[in-house]
Amino acid sequence: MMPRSILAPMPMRWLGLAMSLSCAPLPAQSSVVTVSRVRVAVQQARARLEAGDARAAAAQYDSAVTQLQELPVSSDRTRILSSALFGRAVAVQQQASTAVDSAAPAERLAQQQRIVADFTEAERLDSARFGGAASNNIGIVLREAGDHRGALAAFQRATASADAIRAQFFVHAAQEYAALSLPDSAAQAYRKALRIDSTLTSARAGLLELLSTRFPADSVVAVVTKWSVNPAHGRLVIDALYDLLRSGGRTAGLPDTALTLLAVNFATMGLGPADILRDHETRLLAAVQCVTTEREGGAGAKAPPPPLCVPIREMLGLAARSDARDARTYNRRFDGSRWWTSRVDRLAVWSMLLRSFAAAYDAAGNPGLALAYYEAALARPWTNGPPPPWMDIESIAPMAMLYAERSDGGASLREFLDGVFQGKSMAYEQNDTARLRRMHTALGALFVSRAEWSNGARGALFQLDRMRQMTRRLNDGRLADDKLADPPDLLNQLRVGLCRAGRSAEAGIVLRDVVVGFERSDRAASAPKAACEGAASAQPPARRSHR
Amino acid sequence: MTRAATLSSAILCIVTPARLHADTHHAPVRPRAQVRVEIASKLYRIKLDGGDGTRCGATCSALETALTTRARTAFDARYRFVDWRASGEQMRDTIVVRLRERPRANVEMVVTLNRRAPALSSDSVAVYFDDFLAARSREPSYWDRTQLQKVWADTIEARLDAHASRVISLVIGRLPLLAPVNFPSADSSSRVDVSADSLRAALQPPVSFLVRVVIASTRQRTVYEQNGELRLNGCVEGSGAGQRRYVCRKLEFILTDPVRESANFFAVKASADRITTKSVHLYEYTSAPRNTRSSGLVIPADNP
Repeated sequence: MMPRSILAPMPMRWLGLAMSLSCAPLPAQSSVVTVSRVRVAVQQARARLEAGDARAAAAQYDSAVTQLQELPVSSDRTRILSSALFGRAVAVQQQASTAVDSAAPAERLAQQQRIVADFTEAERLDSARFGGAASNNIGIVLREAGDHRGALAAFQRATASADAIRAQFFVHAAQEYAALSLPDSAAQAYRKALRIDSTLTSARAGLLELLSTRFPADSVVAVVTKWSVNPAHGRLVIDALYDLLRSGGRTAGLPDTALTLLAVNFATMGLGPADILRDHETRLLAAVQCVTTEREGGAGAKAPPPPLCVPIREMLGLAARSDARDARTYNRRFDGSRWWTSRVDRLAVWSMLLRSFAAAYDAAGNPGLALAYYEAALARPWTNGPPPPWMDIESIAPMAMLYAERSDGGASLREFLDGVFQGKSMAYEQNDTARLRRMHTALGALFVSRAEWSNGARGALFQLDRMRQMTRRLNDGRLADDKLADPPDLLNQLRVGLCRAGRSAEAGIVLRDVVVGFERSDRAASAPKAACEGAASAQPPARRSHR
Repeated sequence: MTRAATLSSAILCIVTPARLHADTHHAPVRPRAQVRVEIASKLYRIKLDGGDGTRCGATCSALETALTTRARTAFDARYRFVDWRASGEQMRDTIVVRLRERPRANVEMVVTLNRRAPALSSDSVAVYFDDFLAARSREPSYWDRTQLQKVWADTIEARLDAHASRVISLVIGRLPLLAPVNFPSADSSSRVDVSADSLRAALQPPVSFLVRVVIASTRQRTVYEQNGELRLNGCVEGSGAGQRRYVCRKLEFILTDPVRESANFFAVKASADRITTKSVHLYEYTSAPRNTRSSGLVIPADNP
């Protein structure tokens, strides 16, 4: 027997005002009430809740609870009753949080207690379905009532459940830790949420906001630097970077770092010139107050523009010009300001931006402009020596494809690849493993796309094998949860290539990494099952001559 | 060059009629649309069905259908401010995801909005999908339809995520919301009287709205009309007057014809006879997780 206070119909005032007359008819009292009929009513109530009609939903759930009271105990009845109680509590809470609150404090408290009682009873009846959700919702009710300690305790119970959206419960717990001035615990809870569900935007946004307000600026920089590799996080990262950019001179060098990282993110997100002018020109100029006419110095003299205005205007100028004849796009002769040219890392970022613009011009059907910008990204031409360390390695493959299209008998491509190999040799001399890994990866991808496998260093097998070596070398010094992983599709190509070369034992070793890589990218079903699967049936790749 | 002026603490009221408020019956704030995946690449068509690739054959069509089903789920999770009904209903607007070949080396994915009534021009977003040369040399087992269905659906989703900001602002966000606008006459925060729940929006990060307006002014007894775009940025949900609504901290305004140029909204308004709303759109948006309200409340599952 359920406690009367829980199963009793709600007083009309608890439902807000009277139930709308337009509600769909409930099963008539005079007809036979069955579990399946009440189930339909509960489904209708859920649909009303989903459509935003919390008042009608609450009334319908309430009626369902009353009717279930009259039915004999069964597993079906218990299941539907728990759903109806849970739904009733959600609907009433939803109504309470959106309605104009004219109720007396005692009445509000009583309503809150009834909502909590419904959630508690739903969880007791069916903990498998409502274990996490009911505790979470109790936390929401208590939070809205200002009881942060009670809310935190409820959210902590929710995080211990196996609910599919447990990560979201960690976010709620984090918010309560923050409200209780426990920033370290809050940050830890946000990070746990992201470990469970790395796509959870609210956890990323919450962590960034927490770090921005409660931690030194370096913490924000560390996080956004790490997140900058993934374009899916771009918008959040960019918003945080604008905040840092606006922070001015509070921390030495911080706005400069923010501007560098902003440009990295523009490139990572694949933004083209039009995207930057449309969405970022105003923001950039406003963030560092570059409107000089409005800045008056002492005695009526105009104050000089903030130092970052120069590199920002150069970046915007690059986006606005779209002109291959611009000296700025023919590197080695890059005549940018000292801000961009005085540091290798900033030159590298400028090159990334050039590549992003090149890709945009390519997508817009302008291969001439694309080629000019890729050349600039790679600091071409390399007539005076090997490529500089700040060239954009990711531009190698698209550049090679564009050169391969030229009708010069492959001369451009050969000369280009000679230069790339020269640059790689320099990286070997400097023992720059990270750079070497990126170069081997880019060259491996290039030779795979050209179906050139066994040609020593100018073949995919060699380059991808070296890519793996460099990855292993870098991983030796990294923590278990911070290991680098090679692109699974390239590894899969290497597996097939090794089989074709008769090196099936090595292919078997690569297979293990392929499977792990496919699993990591949620493509386990597509992973090969055997070392040489697909290799025998494939046509031997035709060697493409350079045109 | 597109330029826009930022006016902090601008005033703008977007008032949703009472019938559109979140907690009323069948709040029709969200636009309805459907999604369709098309395989237009000749190489893909030849690999799937043979022939000369001018038509999408039986395997290709079956794959298109399967990918469309997956895409609908993916769109429903990412762009929840749109009501993505099943195909077959009479739909006014369709988002087309087309896999097509570039003249040289790539297969690209193009996301486009097809509106039956072309009231608003929309851009398309074209992104890299696959390497043409690599695809051409792939072993036959790669082209198994069941396997391909998952790989390509995953790739489509990954590309949508990687280019989310452009896909929303330039394509999906171009679907108009039903939210009429009232323009202010004094300086204060902008307001959009629509709730995060009615848009299925996450509370963080903030949303941005794009409002297209028509400015009518009379010169020498002739009425001239100009078009403009207001962008309301940094809109966060709060409550007031008994309802949830967005408060927007910044306003950008550009006149869009005869050329795009930034302008001071209030100066333009002061000299205009009237400014009317043409349409309201989302420009930046993140969906709330399914089965939760913006408050964090978990709602009951579909099937009791």
